[in-house]
Amino acid sequence: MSPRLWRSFDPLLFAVAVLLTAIGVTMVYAALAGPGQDVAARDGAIREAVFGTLGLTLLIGTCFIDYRIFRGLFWPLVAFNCLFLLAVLVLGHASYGAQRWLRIGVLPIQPSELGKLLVILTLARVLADADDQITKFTTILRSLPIALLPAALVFPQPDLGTALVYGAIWVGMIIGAGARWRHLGALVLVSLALMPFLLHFLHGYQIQRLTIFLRPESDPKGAGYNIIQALIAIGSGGLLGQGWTFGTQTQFHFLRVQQSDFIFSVIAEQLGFLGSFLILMLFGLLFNRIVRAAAVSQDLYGRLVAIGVFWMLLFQTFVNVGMNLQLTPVTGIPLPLISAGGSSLVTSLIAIGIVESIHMRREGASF
Amino acid sequence: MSIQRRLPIQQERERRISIFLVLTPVLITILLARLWWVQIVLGPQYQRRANFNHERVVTIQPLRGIVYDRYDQQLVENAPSWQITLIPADVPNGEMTAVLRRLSALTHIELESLDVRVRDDKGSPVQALTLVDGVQRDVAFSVLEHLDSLPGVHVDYIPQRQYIDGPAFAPVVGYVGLISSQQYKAALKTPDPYPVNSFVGKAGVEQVFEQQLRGILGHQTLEIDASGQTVQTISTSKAIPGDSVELTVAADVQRVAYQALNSLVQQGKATGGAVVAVDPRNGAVVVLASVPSYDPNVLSSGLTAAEWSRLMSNPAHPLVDHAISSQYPPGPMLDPFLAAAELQAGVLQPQRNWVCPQRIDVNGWLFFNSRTVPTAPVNTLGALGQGCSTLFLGLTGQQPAVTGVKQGLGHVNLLHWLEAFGFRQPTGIILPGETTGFLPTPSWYERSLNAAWTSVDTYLVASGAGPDAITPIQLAVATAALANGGKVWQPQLLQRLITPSGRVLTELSPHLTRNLALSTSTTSTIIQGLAEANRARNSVSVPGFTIAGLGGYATSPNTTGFLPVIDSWWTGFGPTYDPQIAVTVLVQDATDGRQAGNVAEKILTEFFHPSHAAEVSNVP
Repeated sequence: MSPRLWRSFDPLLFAVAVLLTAIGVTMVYAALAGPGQDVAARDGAIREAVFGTLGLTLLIGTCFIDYRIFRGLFWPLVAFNCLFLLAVLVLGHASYGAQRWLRIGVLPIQPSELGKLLVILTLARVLADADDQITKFTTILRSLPIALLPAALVFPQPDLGTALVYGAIWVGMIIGAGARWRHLGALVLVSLALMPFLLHFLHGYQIQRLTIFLRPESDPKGAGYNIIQALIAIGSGGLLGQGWTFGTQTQFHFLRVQQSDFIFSVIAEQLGFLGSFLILMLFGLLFNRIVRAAAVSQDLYGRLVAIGVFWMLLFQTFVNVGMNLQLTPVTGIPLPLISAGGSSLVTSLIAIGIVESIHMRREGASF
Repeated sequence: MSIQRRLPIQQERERRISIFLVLTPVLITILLARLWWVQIVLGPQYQRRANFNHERVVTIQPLRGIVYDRYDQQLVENAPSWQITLIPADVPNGEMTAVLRRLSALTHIELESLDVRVRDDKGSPVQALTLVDGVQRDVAFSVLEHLDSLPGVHVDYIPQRQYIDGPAFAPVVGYVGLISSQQYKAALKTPDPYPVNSFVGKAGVEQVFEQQLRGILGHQTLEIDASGQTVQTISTSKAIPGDSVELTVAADVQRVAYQALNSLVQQGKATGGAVVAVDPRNGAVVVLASVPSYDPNVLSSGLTAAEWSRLMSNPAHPLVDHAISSQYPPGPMLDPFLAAAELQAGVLQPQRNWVCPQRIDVNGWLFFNSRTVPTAPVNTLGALGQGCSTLFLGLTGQQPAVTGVKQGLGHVNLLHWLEAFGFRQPTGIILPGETTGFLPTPSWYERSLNAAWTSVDTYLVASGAGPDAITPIQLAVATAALANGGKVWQPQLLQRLITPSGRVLTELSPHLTRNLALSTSTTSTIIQGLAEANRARNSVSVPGFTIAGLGGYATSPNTTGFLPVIDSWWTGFGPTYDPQIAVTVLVQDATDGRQAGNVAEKILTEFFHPSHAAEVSNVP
């Protein structure tokens, strides 16, 4: 690889990714810390740091790979994704009542996380091939199975959240590809019409989880418990926060799943509005750099991949922070780069690596 | 590179990129606005809720002050006892039944009754709810060992009030009981509110000195985690034990008084009675007993509705302190007070001899002596000694019914003197529920009966057989005034108030209600007369001590109107010429008019017992 290629490396994107990963490790520690929890917190943080290092290494490694290689690997990627997700259903490891993990060696892996990236890479190929045919509704429909099939495979795990992320990626990418607004409007109407039918597939507890955020006080000890505790944690943070590892809601275990889905509550509680503001600004910068990479991509495929990554991260961030703030339903979507969980972290960093790869091979970049 | 013409689709895609670039700040602004609302605007409110979540303020009950008798004998104690409480909010969802089942197995209390307590609780779920009271050491410790498997359950050391010889001292000491909801609410507005489930004084000294005895609550602020386990103690303020009360009562003498009266009741010789003994030198109450009594230990631990109604419907009124609250006809017990009044008024001269009238005839109303009197002439002393009530009675009228006397005492003087001795008014003892007694007056006649006072009424009042009613404590205070030359003391119960560190806050402070300043000759005539009365009738004798006193009985129709009911009285003091104790005994529905004297003898014998002799002679 030519050293010149590295001149187009986006250092800001990389720096933001490193910074958010580091914040993630620190906050996972803070989320797990508490009286008598020193070992658990340290182990959790080390685990997160190991995955972060692995992910950042893979990010750099991905830069060396020309992203266009993935365009040619359409069928292998589709097959791999489907088999991998299918394996979870067959061999998967259950935890918290959901079957999401595959044990490979000693590592539990969550294939649905990697699936997000694979959906992006394969969908980009289909939409790039279609090019200006995207203006036809049939093209949109033909691209749907690329996202729908994996979504149908993660949905029964059950993992409604990830299925929704696949959906969001698909919608975001067809918008990016140039689908007509009236087609998109028609899609919205069709989905609304299908809603009663879709709800039929949901378990009662899933519907309750989706709607409880509207009135968490109706079941303060059950489904609404964590929403209420999260708001108390966030609210008690005030402007400057209670201090790192000094959150009473977190440290005395009033807040649950605090290191993964509800880590934003820990941030808000301990670092206050100021700390949360700065972290949201970092996310803003991250999204901005990714969209810019999409804009400067030398081809449509690269642009669509970057847009897919943008939507994947933006959607997850908004829904995750939103559910912490009682704005969106609780759907088990992690906060990218921050929430504890190796698969999500590594997938996000690889995705950013691919965006770097696109940026490095941008239009007008010197080879 | 060549310049390519931009296709419409490509222009559209550029626009989409611009939309995405704008979308990011829009979404982040939405999140930040919400974050601002929750953290800055609602922040203080959520801060309070966070503190409410992880802080528990636990009150530490102070030890209640002890009640002692005048010789430092303990009358109550704080017995070791534990209380099992539950904070419902700390029990994980759906585990309540499992927790109660485990607790039931450890305490051997039926699951059903624990369950009812929890279900009936209307309080806040973070407030401790008392599940079991009065838990013994072994049960408390076995629950303490299993606290790990009992989330929300707490075991608190709460000493239980034990009353030593409870029934004997109940009229004085009273008892404690669970605070009433009105009292709880009223105390919430004061600087020293009570925690729920507090025990407060409900009667007697426990009630009167509640503020001194209760002590000051301690508080412990605990940091707790979501499972309700204590993580650490944030702050502690120690509980300060209550002050101790040392009473003027002599416990040994009080016990004798109670037992003497109680055995009469047990033997069916009386339905009840009362004893009051005061020190004529300062009004200190040495004995205050009432029979039948109640067991304050039972009342403290809480009565069932059935037990309570049984206690309330008992015809002998065990909850009423007969010594201060019940009123009885005085009968001949007013004689020495009539004599004192007549001596002071000059109607009666100490050395003048009289032939005791066999009867007094006032407009057809006949008054007799209750005993056979000698026919030989007697002086005042002799009249008192021989029980010539007719002489003192006959001299009370404006125109005396005694031959050869022109000017009698008159009803105005009579009522003045009886009130001066303390009848028809409370003595001012600190215990609640004292009654005033009753003496009719001309204005009362006019107001209530629309009738004018007649000379017969004067005699009826003086005879003690009319509408008069007195309380035993009034007679005791008045008797003490005869012994001490006319000083009517307010009876005192508090000898000393002592802080837990031993500092004396209050000493006995005698309070003179009135000084009648009886002349020396009046005083010595009355004292000698009462000594003679006691000697002549051989009523009360204590070896080595002289006693002055008068026994008698009053009759009143019983409820059926046939057989008259006898209330046996004895009142007197000793030693005769150095009075250290004045005793009044009343036996209700006595089978023998001498019963009160017998009780008094036991009381005085105990009071003058050599074991107390040092005390008795040491008193200045």
